Amino acid sequence: MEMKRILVVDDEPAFTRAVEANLSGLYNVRVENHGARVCDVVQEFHPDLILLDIMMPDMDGCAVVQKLKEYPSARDIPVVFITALVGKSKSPQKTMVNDHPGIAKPVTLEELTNCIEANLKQPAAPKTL
Amino acid sequence: MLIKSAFLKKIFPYAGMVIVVIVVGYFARQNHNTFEQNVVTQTEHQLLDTVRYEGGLLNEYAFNLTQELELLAGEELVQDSFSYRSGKPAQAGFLLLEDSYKDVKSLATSLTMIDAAGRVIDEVPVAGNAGKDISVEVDVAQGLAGQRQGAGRLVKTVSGDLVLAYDQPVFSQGKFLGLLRAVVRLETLQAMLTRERGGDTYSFILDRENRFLSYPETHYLGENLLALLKDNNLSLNESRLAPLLEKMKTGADGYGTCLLFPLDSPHQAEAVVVAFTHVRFGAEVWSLVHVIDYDAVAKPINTNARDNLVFAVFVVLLLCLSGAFFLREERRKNLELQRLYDNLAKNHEALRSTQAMLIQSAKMESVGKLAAGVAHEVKNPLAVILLGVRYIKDHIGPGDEHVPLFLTDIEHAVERADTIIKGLLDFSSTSRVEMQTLNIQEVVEHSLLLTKHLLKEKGIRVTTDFGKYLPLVDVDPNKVEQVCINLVLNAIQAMPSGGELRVNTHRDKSDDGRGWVVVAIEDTGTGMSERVLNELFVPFMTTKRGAGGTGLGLSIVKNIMELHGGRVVLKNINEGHGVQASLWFKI
Repeated sequence: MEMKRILVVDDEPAFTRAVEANLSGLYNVRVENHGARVCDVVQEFHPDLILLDIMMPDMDGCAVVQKLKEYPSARDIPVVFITALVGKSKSPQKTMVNDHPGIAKPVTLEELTNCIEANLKQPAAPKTL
Repeated sequence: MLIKSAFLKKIFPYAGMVIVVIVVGYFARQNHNTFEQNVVTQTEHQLLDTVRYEGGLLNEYAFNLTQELELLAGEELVQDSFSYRSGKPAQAGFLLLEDSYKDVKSLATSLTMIDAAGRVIDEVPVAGNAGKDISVEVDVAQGLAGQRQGAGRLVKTVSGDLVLAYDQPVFSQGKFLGLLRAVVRLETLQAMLTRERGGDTYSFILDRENRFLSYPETHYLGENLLALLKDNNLSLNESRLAPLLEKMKTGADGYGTCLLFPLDSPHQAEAVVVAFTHVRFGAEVWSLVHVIDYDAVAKPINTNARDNLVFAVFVVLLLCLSGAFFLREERRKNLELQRLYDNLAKNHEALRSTQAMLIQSAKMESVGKLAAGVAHEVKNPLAVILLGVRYIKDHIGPGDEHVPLFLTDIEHAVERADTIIKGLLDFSSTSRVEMQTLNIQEVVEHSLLLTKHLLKEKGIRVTTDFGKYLPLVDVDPNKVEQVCINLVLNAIQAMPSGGELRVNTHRDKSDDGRGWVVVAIEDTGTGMSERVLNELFVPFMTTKRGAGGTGLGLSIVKNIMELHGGRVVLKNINEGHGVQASLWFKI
């Protein structure tokens, strides 16, 4: 079975590197350190889920989400904000940023994978004729 | 000093009124005294004028009578009659001719010729005693012996009337022939004097022996004034007559007030004003006394006194009323001032409190911004460390057994740093409060409900005592709930092996008299040391670092209470066997 594609966007290369290293056995991971390039990468990579930082110098996470909505193919890709701005909630699934789920840094591997699994788009049920 | 001046200020109007009453009373009394003095003096002068006038009439009368008698005694015919007829019975109407007598007639009641032996030679108008020897009569004997002009002899007539006998000796060539005696009825004298029967004014004549030679009523005629006083148990001093009588004796004129018996009440002495002058009747000197009832004099004085009193009372009443009005106005103004001052103080306090809250809020906002910035900058590296360590742990080969332990320590250290940053974010997120007016009991009860399972788990019994009818307070329920939960959690940590959590609400007053609603949370733990008590609210000061304490809990509590304009007080209770945290909310 083909691994789910996860796009990790954060301006901090060390962080994206650490995420990539930890998740690479579990998912097909691609990292991006510039918010402005996300749309191009999405067009090319077609991720199943985007882990998106909020505070980035060139384009912040919220602007990236707005821009993604302009692309029909990218519009429905689940986005999980991963940010240092929110406190750590006891139920990570319930942390929401602009209607999108969020997860607070620093995050453990378990928390990260649980959150990804919970938010990966379930494949649509096969249509019956 | 303040109390003193306030006291003086309070009694000043009353003291002023008393002084005014005294001053008005004093001037009214002065006015009364002056008026009385003036009236009495005026009366005395008027009396003196009157008595002098009357005295003049009497003197004129006495002068005329003595003059006429002297002339008569000098007439040859009269002298011859004495010479020839002496010792022989006289013929009625023969010797004292109508012509000779006519000038005396209008002045005297009768005229008698008495020879040197004391026999009546002739008598007009009725010669009843002609030829009669009256030498045994004391007054006649005295007259014959004296051989001089004499008056003032009171003689009782055959009919019992008292008359005044005036003797004129008759000489011929140095030889004493006898006496010409004029008899004057006392009424004649009295007729010349002021007489208001039953009135307040009258006159009388006193001779040198203080006998009444005239008096408006006949009952005192011939009576001695001193004997009269004695009979009525009135001493001379008491009657104040002594100095007046002394002066009369010197023949001087004068006046004064004394006690005398009024006409209508002869035995009841009353105050009178008198004036006196002397009257000469031949060799005799009498005193003519004019009397006026003091009450008659006092009438205008009393009227004046009454007027004075009415005026004084009116003035005092007016002043008192003005004073009362002034005081009332003053009190009203003071109350108004006090009310304005209270309002001002209240507004000032509200402003001060709001300003303090704003400053605190601004302070917390800047701290919040700083904390958020720090959190972002610190959390990113922490995230890198945490995931990096995790990767190393998963991929490390067998070797040094300490490496996995250190990696775990690093993970724990990251978690700890993350907890502190979270606390800092909590601490700085208190800058805004959303106030609601509510009963503080609701918030406290909700906080206890949220911590119920923890309390139960630690075997802590909860007792509550909520005060009834407490005023509502303005609070942010979420923030105050956070405060209460923090304090309850502290209490739970202070009682690891169970105990009792006592919560009560009540009303209290601070030293400045301000009212507060107080929430007190007490534990039965081990209390706190003096050092800890002093550093309770210092951020990051914790006694439970090992148990994950960040040292920000009580700082958050303090901040929230300050944002409410209130305060939090922590102290040991039960001799160090417990801590009481009290939250003071302003009413």
